[in-house]
Amino acid sequence: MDQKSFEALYDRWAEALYRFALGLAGHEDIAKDIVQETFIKVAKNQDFFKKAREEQSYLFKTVRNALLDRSRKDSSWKKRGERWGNDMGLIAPVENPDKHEFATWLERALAELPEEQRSVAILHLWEGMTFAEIGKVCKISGNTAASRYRYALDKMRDQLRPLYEEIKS
Amino acid sequence: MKIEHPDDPLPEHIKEIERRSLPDDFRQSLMNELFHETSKTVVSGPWWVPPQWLGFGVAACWGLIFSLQLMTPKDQAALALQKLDLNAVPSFSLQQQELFAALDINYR
Repeated sequence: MDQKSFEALYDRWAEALYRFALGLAGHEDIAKDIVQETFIKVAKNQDFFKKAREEQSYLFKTVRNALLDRSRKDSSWKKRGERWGNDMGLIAPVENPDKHEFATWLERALAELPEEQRSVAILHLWEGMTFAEIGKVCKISGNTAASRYRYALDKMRDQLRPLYEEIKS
Repeated sequence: MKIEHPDDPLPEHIKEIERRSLPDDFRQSLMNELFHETSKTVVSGPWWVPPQWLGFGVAACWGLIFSLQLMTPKDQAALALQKLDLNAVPSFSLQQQELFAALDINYR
């Protein structure tokens, strides 16, 4: 792959992949490592553009698989990432105190979700992916992705209950 | 497939929350690693030209073989054996004559 095509690919996807990785890993360095590994893998694959017709699902799937591999190998990281109240570093600094509080609670609520629900929630809410597209990333059907999203939203609503009542009114 | 309740403000609130970005230097370091640093360190010729280290390795091996050959002391007994006429050894000569006779070959 030539540098120009690679840079264009990077500019299209790097931020989204990093945020997805950060949302799953809850750790900045791990997220950066995974994104770097993914792009190096793509750069070494001469046939990437021929084989990967759907680059979006290919890239997100690669990131997710790399994270799952790493969590299987390093159980201490998994526990650290999923611990309640852990600062995942997912949310950008917020000046507005109300928003800041909501962001903090949201981060904790996300950290409480099991990986399969968190993946779906992040991809649908922030990346705007359809459930069919998410299904390709997570190797599940669109319907399963939709139900996981619903479970994730219900759990987050419970976690954010005190704030949810405020934003609802 | 409608999942979100139209009155539920939660998804919209979540979408508004801004997430962290990649550090500024990340892109540059990745590009350097992939396209610049490797091209500086790996200077390779056409595929049929062996790498330089292989040439040095082969030359060093041959040098070692020659130096061992020169340094090995010559065995006097081995040198004497090389010069020896086997026909002059009675037992060998006898065996040879018997062999030729058995094969019915005119020898000398």
